[in-house]
Formats: sequence, structure tokens, C-alpha cells
Amino acid sequence: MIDRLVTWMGKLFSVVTLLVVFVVVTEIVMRYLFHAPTLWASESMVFGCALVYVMGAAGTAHEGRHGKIELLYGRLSARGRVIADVCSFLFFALYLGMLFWASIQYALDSLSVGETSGSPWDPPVYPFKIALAVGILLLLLQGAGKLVKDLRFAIGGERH
Amino acid sequence: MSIELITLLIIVTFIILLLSGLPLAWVMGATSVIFALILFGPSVMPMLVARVYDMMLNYTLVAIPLFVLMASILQRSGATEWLFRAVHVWSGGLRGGLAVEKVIACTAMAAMVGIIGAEIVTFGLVALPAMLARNYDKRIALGSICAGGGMASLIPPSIVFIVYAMVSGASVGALFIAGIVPGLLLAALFVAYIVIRSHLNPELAPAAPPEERGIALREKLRLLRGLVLPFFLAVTVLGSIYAGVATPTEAAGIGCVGALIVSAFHRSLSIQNVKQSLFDTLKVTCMLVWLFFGAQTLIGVYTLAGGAHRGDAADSDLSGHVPGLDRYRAADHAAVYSHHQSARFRHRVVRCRVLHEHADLLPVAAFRAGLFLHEECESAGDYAG
Repeated sequence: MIDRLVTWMGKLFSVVTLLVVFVVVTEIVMRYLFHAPTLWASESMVFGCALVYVMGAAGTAHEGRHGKIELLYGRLSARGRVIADVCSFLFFALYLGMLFWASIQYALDSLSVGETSGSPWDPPVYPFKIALAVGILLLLLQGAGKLVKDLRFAIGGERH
Repeated sequence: MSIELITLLIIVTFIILLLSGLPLAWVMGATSVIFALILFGPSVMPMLVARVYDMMLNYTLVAIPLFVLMASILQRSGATEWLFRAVHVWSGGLRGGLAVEKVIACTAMAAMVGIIGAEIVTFGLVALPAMLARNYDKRIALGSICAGGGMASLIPPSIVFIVYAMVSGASVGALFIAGIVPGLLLAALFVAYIVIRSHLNPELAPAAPPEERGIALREKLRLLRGLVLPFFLAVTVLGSIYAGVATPTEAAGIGCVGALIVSAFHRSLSIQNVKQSLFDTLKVTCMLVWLFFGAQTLIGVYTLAGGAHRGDAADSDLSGHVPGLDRYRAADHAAVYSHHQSARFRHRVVRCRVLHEHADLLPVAAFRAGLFLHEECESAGDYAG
């Protein structure tokens, strides 16, 4: 369930990259053909990509694409690796758990005053702070889902 | 705890976590959270989130997903296979031709894409048996693939340069220009090495047998035609940066459109291909960006712990004797904090709170924050220029 959710979110938000490309093209066309550069283009590019980074992280983790060093880890047996994963999950959870806790406060602070970016376009920025918290939550969920599978394998010895 | 001890402990923690097989992105984050909690308590966590958030909204960073997308679309378009086939046909008669071809094709590909990762593996899987079947020396065969694979980090548009520019504040365009000559020089040296070695000792890398060389000139020219568009694309992307028409980020966006056109030309433009390219891009981008997030938190904690001052010998020698210096340091931390909270005036509320807490240090903090903002304006000027 979680796996499908994070992959789906990743695929959904990967389309945002294409929207960013359209924004770039619009900006270039407006600037050079119509001599009317937009106020919103560069900021929306940044915001669009920010969504990609935070919403795609869990899907990336699901596919095992976050790089790791296999100097020792790579030499362990399948079961040994799972046990190492279970132990290192503590640190994964510590990092993202603390980050999640702080990012919620960060987002709520911003939401309560309706914070905007302060640029000439001045869009609200709290949606992106909330997105950061949501992205971290997705990562935590993905990690927890993997932990359950790993524990089953480490204790029961059955393949997943 | 002294900063020397903290540094040592951070490195040890880092290495232990890394060896446990935890992905590097989480290793950096976990190390920073552990030391943030031990040294300062949970109250610094918002500062770490602010640093992550700042990185998330970095304008230069946008170039990474866009250049990766461009590469990803090109790889699915069939343009790269075409490229390799064309180079293959044209360099077949040469001694060591297969190896030379790898270097040249990789260099040409590097001018179109900013990052070569998994492709070099698949490419190696195809190219290596072909070279070994023709009795190439193992070292020459492997060396040409590895050397060619490294070209993407030197020849623009290189993702490595974008990352370096982000960290150092240098101009992306200037770094790209700086990469061209060394990149081409290196490629030329690789080619020269292979050619000279295989002429001195023909057994290392024999030329193609005549039957493989007998390809009609018409066919050769036809293959060249397929290279025109990718070449034009590379020139457009780099040219628009150098001419100051577009920022590197925008040039990457133009490159994506160009890649879609190339893909249409090769009749491989489909929704399925684009979707798959987008998802591939997302995975590469997230992998890279969360590394930067982790690094940001680690740098934040290390700076707060006083790591940034250690290089300044005078500072550490004086700190025992000058009563105001510790307070100055506190002001500096407040400035670093408020900088990350207030950069580009985004986080007005939090900034006010920080400054209220350290109201008496306001002038010092404002001065330091001003320096940071000044640096930021300078790098912003680089993008504009």
C-alpha cells in the first residue's frame, strides 16, 4: 500500500518537471518575442522543482536509488544486509523524525501568518513548507514499511 | 567539548553509519541530528529545517532536474545509439578503432548530457564483449570505456559544475566555459594514447577486418545526418548560456524542448517514453538533492559548533583573552541563523523572533547577515550576467 502510494506520488510529481520546462519556454518567449519578461516564471520554476524534490524522495527510496557505500554492506549475506538495514533504520528515523517534527512547526508558523515570498510576484510560500513536511512524512512511511518487511524476513526468514 | 574533539567524533560517527549500508543522504542527516541534539538540544532543529528549505528553493538547483531530463529524453530517443553507430562506422578502419570510438562517442554524448551514470554500465556491457571478441587487450578495452564515461563531468553541461557553482558561489557559465578545453584536450590525449599504443603494438587493438569496413559512403553520410540535430542542440544550449541569452537553468529548459524535438525526429516520441524519462529524472534528482539537504544540515551543525572558526588561528588563540569574542561568536551564530531564516526576506516572522532574543547584538548580527546577503547578491548577479 505504502509502496504504491510513494511510487504513485513520485510519478505524479515527476510531471511537474515538464511543467517547469513549459514555464521556462514561456519566459523565454515572453522575454524575447514580446519583450515582456514575466514576474512569476523564475519563482515558479523554483517552487515546481522544490515539489519534485520533496515528493519524489520516498519513491526514490522505494527504488533503492539513494546511494550507499557497499564496502562492508555489500559483502554481507541477504539476511545480514536486512539486519544491518533494521539497525540503521534507527538513524534514518532519528534524522527524518526530528526533521519532520521541526518542519511541522516551521510550516505551521508560516501558515499562521500567511507568509509570502516577499518578491514582486509575492506568492504564498507556506504550501511549500507544508510540502516539505509531507515529503518527509512519506519518507518516514516508506522507511517504516520497509522496516516491517525487513523484520519479517530477519525473524521468519521468508523472502519478500 | 572542543571543536577538535567534535570534528573527530563527527567523522567517526559518519564513517560507522556509512559502513552500515545506510544511504549517504541519511548518514549526513543522522550525523548532524545526533550532534545537534548532543551539543545544542532540540531547539536548533528549526535552523536545520530552514537550511533544507533554503536549499530546496535554490534557483541554480533547478538546472539539475532540467539537464537530467534532457539527457533522459535523449537516451530514450535513439539518438545515442545513432551516435555510437555513426562513430563506429567512421572509425572502424583505424587500429584501436573500437576503443577510439568509445572515447569520441562518449565525449560527444557528454556535450549533450550532464551526467552519465547507469548508461555507462549498459554501454560497457555491449561494447566490452565486442572489443574482446576482436582480441583487444583487456586493459585498453576497459580503460576506453571508463575514460569515456568520465567525460560528462568535465564537458559542459556538467552537473558536477552546477553543484560546484552552488557551493562556491562561482558562475555556472564561467565554469562551463572552463571545462571545454581541458575536456577536449583530455579526450584528444585518450585518443592519441590508444592510437599510438596500438600502432606500436598492433596486437593490443587490431583494426576491423575488411568486411566490416566496406560500408558504402552513402550509408556513412546517412548516419552522419542523424547527428546534426543532437549537435545543433548541444550548440544551442551552451551557446545560449555563453551569449547571455539565458541562464544555465533556462538553457537546460530549452535543452529539454530540443531533446523532445530530436526524439520526435527519431520517431520515438511517445507519452510512455516521456513519462518514463520524467520518472527517471525524478529519481536521479531526488537522490542528488537529498544529498545536498543532508550536507546542508551537517554544515549547519558544524558551523554552529564553531567548525568554521577553527581555520582562523587568530580567532581561536584570542578567544581565551578577549572577553567580547565569545559574545561576538554568539552574534555570528545569530547572524548565520537569521541569515538562513531571513534570506531574501522570506521568513520575516522568525527573523524578528531571533533578533528580539539577541537584541543587544543586533548591530553585529546585522553586519554579518549583511555580508551573507551581499555574497548572495553577488552570486545572483552572476546568474543574471
